[in-house]
This record gives sequence, C-alpha cells and structure tokens, in this order.
Amino acid sequence: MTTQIGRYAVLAAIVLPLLAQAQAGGLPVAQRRALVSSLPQGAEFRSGGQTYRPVGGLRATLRGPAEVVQGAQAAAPATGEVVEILGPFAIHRALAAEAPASAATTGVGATTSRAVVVNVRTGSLGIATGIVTAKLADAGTARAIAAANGVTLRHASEGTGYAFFGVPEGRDLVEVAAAIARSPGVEMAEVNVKEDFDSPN
Amino acid sequence: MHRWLAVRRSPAVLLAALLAASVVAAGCGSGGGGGGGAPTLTSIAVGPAPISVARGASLQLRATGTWSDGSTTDVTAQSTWNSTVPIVASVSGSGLLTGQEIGAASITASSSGVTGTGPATVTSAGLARIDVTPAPSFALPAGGARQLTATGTYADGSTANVTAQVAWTSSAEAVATVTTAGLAAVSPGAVPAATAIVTAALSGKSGTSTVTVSAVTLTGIAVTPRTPDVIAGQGLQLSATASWSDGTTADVTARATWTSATPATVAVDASGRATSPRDARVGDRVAVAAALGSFTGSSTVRVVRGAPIGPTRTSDPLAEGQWYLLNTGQDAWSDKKGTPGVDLGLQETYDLGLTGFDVKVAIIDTGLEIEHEDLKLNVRPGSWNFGSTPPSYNPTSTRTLGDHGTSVAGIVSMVYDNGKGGMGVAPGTRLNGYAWLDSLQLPDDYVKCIGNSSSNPRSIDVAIFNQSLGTTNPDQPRRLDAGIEPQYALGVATLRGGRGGIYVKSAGNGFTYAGTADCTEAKVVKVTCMNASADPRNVWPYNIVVGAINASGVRASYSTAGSALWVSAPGGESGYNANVTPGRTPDWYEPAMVTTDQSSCDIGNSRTGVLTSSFDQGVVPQKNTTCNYRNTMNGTSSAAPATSGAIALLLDARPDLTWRDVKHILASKATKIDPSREALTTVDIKNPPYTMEMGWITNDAGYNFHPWYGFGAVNVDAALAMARTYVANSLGTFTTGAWVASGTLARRIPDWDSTGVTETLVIPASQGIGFVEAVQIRWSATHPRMADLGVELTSPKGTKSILFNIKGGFIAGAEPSDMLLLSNAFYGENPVGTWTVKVVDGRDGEDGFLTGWQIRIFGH
Repeated sequence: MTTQIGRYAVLAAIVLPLLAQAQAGGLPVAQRRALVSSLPQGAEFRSGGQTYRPVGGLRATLRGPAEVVQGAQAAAPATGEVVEILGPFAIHRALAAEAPASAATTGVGATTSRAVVVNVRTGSLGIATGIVTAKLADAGTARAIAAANGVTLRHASEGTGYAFFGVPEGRDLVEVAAAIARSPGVEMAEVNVKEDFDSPN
Repeated sequence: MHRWLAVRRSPAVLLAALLAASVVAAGCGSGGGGGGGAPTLTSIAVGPAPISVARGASLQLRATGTWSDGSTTDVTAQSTWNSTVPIVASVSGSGLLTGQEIGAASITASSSGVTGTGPATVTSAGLARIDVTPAPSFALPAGGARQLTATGTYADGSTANVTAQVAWTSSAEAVATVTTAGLAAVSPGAVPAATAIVTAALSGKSGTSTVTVSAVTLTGIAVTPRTPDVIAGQGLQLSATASWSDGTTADVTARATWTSATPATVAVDASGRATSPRDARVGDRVAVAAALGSFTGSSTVRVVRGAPIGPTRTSDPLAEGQWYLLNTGQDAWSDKKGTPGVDLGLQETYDLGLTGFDVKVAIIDTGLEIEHEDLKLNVRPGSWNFGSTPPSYNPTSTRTLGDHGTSVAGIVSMVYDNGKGGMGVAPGTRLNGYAWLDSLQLPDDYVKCIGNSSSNPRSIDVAIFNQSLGTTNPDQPRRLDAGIEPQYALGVATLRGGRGGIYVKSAGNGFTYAGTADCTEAKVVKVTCMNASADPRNVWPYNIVVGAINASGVRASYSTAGSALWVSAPGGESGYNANVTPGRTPDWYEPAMVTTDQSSCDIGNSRTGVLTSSFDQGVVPQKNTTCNYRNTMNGTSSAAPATSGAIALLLDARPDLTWRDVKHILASKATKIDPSREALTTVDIKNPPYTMEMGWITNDAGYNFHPWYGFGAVNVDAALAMARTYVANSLGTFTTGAWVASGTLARRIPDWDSTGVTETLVIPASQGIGFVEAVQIRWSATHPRMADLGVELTSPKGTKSILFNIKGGFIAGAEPSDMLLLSNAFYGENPVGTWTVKVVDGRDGEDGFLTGWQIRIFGH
C-alpha cells in the first residue's frame, strides 16, 4: 500500500474516509508480497480472465462502519495482523483454524470471514466474496441448479442468462464453481473475486 | 265589528244607523250584541283578482267582507293593508298597490280579526319602444364591424338593454350583416356610401339604425399576443385587432378567419382560441394567423411544457450560487468567482418549462437521505440499501462526515421553488437511491441496480442511472465482475420500452492523484495519472463517461482524462475559504457545487466547525444555518449528475429518444471549450517530439474531440434545439462488430523511443458498420513498468487517438493482459479499412513487448 492520499478524492469529499482507511492499515507492498509468497497457496483457478490461488493464512473480514478506520483492526480476530485494507474488508493474518488455503468462507465467532486469493500474474490480493457467478443457457434453470448444488440462488437474469449463487459457509468456492460448471446447461461458472472496490468519484 | 254595522248597506243608511246605535248602546249600558243574531264578518276577499300591476304602476285594491248572513260589504276603508314583500309590491293604508320590482307578493287586508289575502304579481311594464345605438346612423369602413345595442323603453318609463332579446336584421345583406348578438359588419364587396338599415325587433316594437359603408379602408390586422407560449395540452386565447385608414381600430377576434400553419401542433378555432395537444413537441413554434378582408396578421405560438422555471425565477435561496445552472460570475460562497456563461446552457430549456418531469433517475451511490427537506418530494418508492442489516428500502447513509449520494442527488433533483436550498438541474425528476457503495459491492446487487430488478430495488422502470463511482485504485488493469457488462447491454436494449436505459458514469478524479496509483511522473509532465480507460465501466459504449469542468470553463484540476470520455460538465473545484482553511493552492478557493448535504449541523460535509468553508460551517451566508446544504461538492461525481439532469430535460421534451440518440445529440451539440488547448508533447525521448496527450482534433466525420473534454461541454439548449426535430431511433441498428485479432505477437517495444512499435488490423466492409460509435481495443504486453507505455490508434481516415498515455499511474507489475481500452474520438467515421496501433515506451530503462491486440467497432 502506498502512502499517497488522493487529494482530489478528498475534493470529492466522500472519498477521503475510504482512502484514509486504505492507508491506515496494512503492510507496505513489498512486505505484503513477501508475506504472501511465504504462505501456503491452493490450486489455481480462473476468474474474470485472471488466474488466482487461495492463500492460506490470510482471511478477509468486514471491517465495520465505513468511516471508522479502527474498524479494520476491531473486526479482525485478536491474532489477525492487518495485511491490507480492501474496500469494506480487512485482510488479516488468519487464526490457525482458518489457515488452510481453500476458497471457503468460514465463521469466526459472530464474524464471517472470506477467503483471500492472490492474482498469480500481478501478485495482487483479492477476496472471494462467497458468490459463484454462472452463465446459463436458460436462466430458468437457475433454481434447480442451486438446489442440486446446495447453494442459494441470489439472483438470475432471464435477459442475460447470468445467475449468482451464494455459497454456504465452509464450502470451497472453487469446488462449488466447478460443480456448477458441470451442471447441464451451464456455459460458465466462476468464483467471484474482487481485487478492487468502487469508491465515490 | 258590531253586527249592526253589517246590516247597513248604504253610506247614508250607515251614518243614521251609527247615530241610533250610539243611543241604544248608551241606554243599555252595554255594546254587546243582543240576542237577535246580528251577522258577523266571516271573511275578506282582496281584489280585483288577479292582482297584477306593472312595475312602477299603481292599482287600487278593494277588500270585500262577507258576513255570516251571507251578505257582503266593501271594507276597504276599514281594513289594515300589508304586503309580504314590500320591495316588490308596496301597499298604502288605503289599499293602493304599487309595483316596485318584477316579482310576486301577498297582499293582506285585515279587519275585526278577519284577514283576507290576495296574491299580487308585479310585471314588466309594456314595451313602448326600442332604440338602437348608435343611431340614427353610423359609418363602417370596408371590413369594419361594430357592436350595436338595443335599448327597450317601457310604458312606465323604465329602460333595459334588450340587445340579446331582439331579433336583428339587415335590410341589405350585401352591404352589411348583423349577427344575432348585434354585431354589424360590412359585407365583403360592399362599396363605399352603400347603406343598410339594421333593425332590432321585439314584441311588436322595433328600432333601426342605418349603417353606411365609409370611404376609409382597412389597413391591417394584428394578432396579440405576438409571441405567446401555450402549454402542451392546454389552450390560449388570441385576439385580432383591425386598423383602418382613419386611425380607428376595432377588435375583430370573432370575425377574423383563423388558421394555423401546423394544426397538429397548435390548432386554432373560429374564436381565436389556440390549443396544443399534450404530446405536442415542446419548443415548436407555430404561426397562427387571423385574416380579415385582404389582410392577415399572425402571431408565433410556442409550445412549452409548463411555466418557465430557472434560478432567477425560484424562491429557492441558494439558487443564486448554482453557477452550473446560470453562471453570472458568482463566487458560490467561495473566495473566487467563475466566468459568466460557463454553465449547462439552460436558459431556453427552462423558458420552455422543461423540468425532467417524471423522468426516473437512480442514484447508485453511498446512499440518499430520502427525508431531506429539499429532496423528499422528488423521491419515489423503490430505493434500496444493500449495506444495511438487514437490507432495507431506506438508503439513508449512516455516515456522519457527509453522504456523497445525497449531494449527488441534489444536483439532479433538488425540489424547485419550495423556498429551501437550491434547485436541481431537472427538478421534476423522480429519484431512487441505491446504496451500493457502502455494501459488499456484490455483482448481483449491481446488476439489480442497473435495471435488472423489479423490486428491492425497483430499477426496471428507471430511465437514467447515475453512477458517480469508480475504481478506487486505478493502479493496474481492472475488470468488471462477470454478469455486469451483459446487463448494461441488456439495459440499453430493453429498458424504457426498448429505447434503452441511459447510463451516466463519472470519468474519475485521478488526473493528479488516484488512490494507490503512482502519480509522481504524471504530475511532473502534467498528463493524466489515471486514464479514463483504467476504470472498467468506462470502456463500454453503454456508459456516457463524463469529465468535469470548473466554473472558469476548463478541466477541473482533478478530472481524469482519456479517449473514453464522452462529454464534460460542471463539477467545480473546492469552494473553500482561505480564512477558514488557509494555505491551499488557488484552485481550492474556486467555486464548487452548491447542493444538498446530510441534514443538521451535527453530521455531513456541512457541519459545525468543519474546515472547508464558512458556508459549510453554517455561518455565511445565513441561508445555510441548518447545514443542510454545502458549497464544496465537486468531482466528476458532480459532473455526472449534472449530465444526468441535462439528459432528463431532453427526455422531458423527447421521451422517444433512444440511448444512442441521446449520446449522438450530446456529442453533436457539445461546446468546444478551452479551444486553444493544445497537445502535450515531450522531447525527452528518442526521435522527439512525442505527443503524450492529444489536443483538440476534428475527426473525419467532423466531430471535435479532446481527451480532457470528450466532444466538449454539455450544452442543454443546443442539445434541445437538435432534439426537438431529431428523428428518434434514426441511427440504424446498433451493431457490435466482431473482434479482429492480431494473434500472438512478440513485437519489441523500443525503449524510450517515439517510433514505438506499430501493428495494423483491417476492419472489413463485411462487418456492415459504416458509422463508428465507439472503438474498443484489447491489448497485451510485457513490460516491467507499464506506466512507461502509451497506446495510440489511427483510423483508416487518418484520425489519431491516444487510448492510453505514458507516465500514468500504473504500478510495476501491472502488465496489460487483454486489457480493454476505448476511444470515442472516431465517432462518425467509416471504420472500414486499416487501423494502426502504436505502442510507445516513453521512459528510459526497460524493454518490453507487444504480445497481441484486437479491435472491434461498435456502430451502425
């Protein structure tokens, strides 16, 4: 994370809090990359044309109210050093129980934490949001596909054929995406990964 | 009454009897009746029946008493007379009845406890004569007319206007006619000195006047008002006034022959009433004529949507600071003034009463304070808060330092003329707020925000989607989540009944600073740090990407530049006051946008003690003591809603415009601002100079384009002028051309050399596109420092556009792999032929390779 704060984002007047948070927690880029390379990584998977690996030892947790900089640390488990702030999430060192390099959401107390992935090509960290996106030949089959794969249908668009499935805690998103992709009439299914979040601008 | 009075029948006998009775009474010591059965008065009749008297006339009434023995006597003199309605019929003590007003009353005569009643009617007096005025004669010029009056005189001397009751006739219709209402008019072809006798007749009486055709001549006819407005769906009364050679004039509205040049837009009836259908084209002007004789006069009737609006007409106290609506050089409570005329160009549009009425606008943002005093009336059901727990219909933000979405919404739709705050660019619009930014930003939620949801949120009936948002860290290529781009494509194809949802997107605020991007070199050489194409929403033709200008009419200091821009609009600078926040660079003290803020002085950008401006502190002026407004909103976040409002105004006038029509009109009528802004070149390169950033160009199709401004600044009046007569959906079928790809390349990019590496691809005629609407390329390269690389594209027509500039903010390792870039600079050109891409390394030190590129055309 660089130390440059966007002055003109400040001018936009709302961006400041987000950017301030982005600077408030996390490790410098080089240190973060060194850390990531030292951690166990899972099998590669594709999403959005990019190749990712789950990173063991890192988890992403919602960091609390958007304007509360301290929210990142407050929301992280006690042992979780904040590695990077990414949108509404804090990426932190995981508890031992969360350490496996899988793309699964896990519950930690009252908090659900997301899997952290690394972009193999760029080294950037991303967050598996817990959603699998699929392109269906017929969106009308989305409900059946959800039932068959033990996931929740969040939304399906008849017009585009895209369906969005919520994956229950504890299941590996990559495996679920692969299973959905094998379902009849599914043209594509992938884990939703966010490397960047939007801000007011 | 004593019975003996009743037995006497003549006055003489009666007098004798009275005397005798007196003696008897005195002797008896009593006046009481004896037992002889003397008759008693049993009833009184009032006559003569029927009692009728003309108004003003009198009639002697008579009371006739009937006795118990059956005899009758006249008891008129003994009776007491009364009228139930004296103002209609009065009666004297002797029974003389006088008619006062036409009507009815009851007359009573009472005697010895007996009362008789007679109904009386007061009638009009008999008509004695009729007089016509003017009389005995009058003159009318050819084409002239005059209203005559008939006056009746009654037998009682009273008079009345009987113009409407009489029968009017002319003795010579060829000379003069007279209407049933008494309007005498010279007949066409009547010669001077010809005469006609006009007669008014009633109840056997008549009066006359002689009209003589005078030698004066009709000299003209004028219609007033000369340039009136008629509200579509309503009517307007016109008047015609004729003038003659003797200087006289007369109202000839009822006699003129009325015609409309375009009856479908403004019709006119025989009485001069002009009407316009509800769906008439706003802004159309139609000549409406009145003809009389050989003369015709006319007025030009303009169709408007409603009463004129505007910042100078409203009671909203902060409108005076809204330079983006009408720039008079005001300071908007900052330290500096803007340049008069640098605004959205709304004067004619507001004159036409256009407000964006009922155009539905969604604000996809951090939130929207739906109970805000200056927004509430324009908020409609259907908002949604994705970030609340649980999600709810109320998108009001829980932020305390300002809610971006509330400020964005105010620019579009602050309520008009409510005496509070300012006015929105399109104050008739209906708002929804989708609080998405302060949520997990899940892709399915965004799909719902941009038109794929009938509830929670309701976006399916939204016309304009305002997206004042974008990538936080444009330091490397970013991608849209799967499913979002297809929804944009679906939205433009299906929303608004197939005319397409209109997606407005802020370009970005990354010219000098851009999140985690490294802007060090960009600031030194003064190119944009964040290229507009670094935001993945900006590289699709579905989005109207908007840059920001300040109140002086040049790029706002922060506004992201690039070939993906479509237009620019007011976004302002910072609006600060040096006495509150000293020590900033000058642009901080230039006007920003006056708009809504979170309510109260406890929260929001405008709040007690905030270090921005006195206005935001609620101190100066006294117009913001509630701290419900701010004068420090800015960013392309502001330029986008300014554009959304502008589009709403166009849709108010022309709801049938498609999304591409809107883009086309905006591009065609944008103002070429900052016209002398030249390309930015460097000589710090081998084979200098090298153009790092383009200046204004005019492409082969005649469109101006600049990476700072797109096609220029939004000008609503100019756009409206074009839109009014534009044939909707006339751009032909929107076509997404097939990708034409280079395949895998390994072309070395010469280090620090303007020669660069070039590659060509051919768009074939078989793609069927003859008019470019946007050009997209996808490119891949390897290079240790992507910020060294610039990408330019030259069309078959020789137009060059820089799609990605050197020395931007991309960080090391951020290599492009099928990275999308978009250029609008080729709009309107024929794409068939050879396109040349050139990749230049603008910095000394590292080598790299172009490993592939593809091109595709959107157009028709």
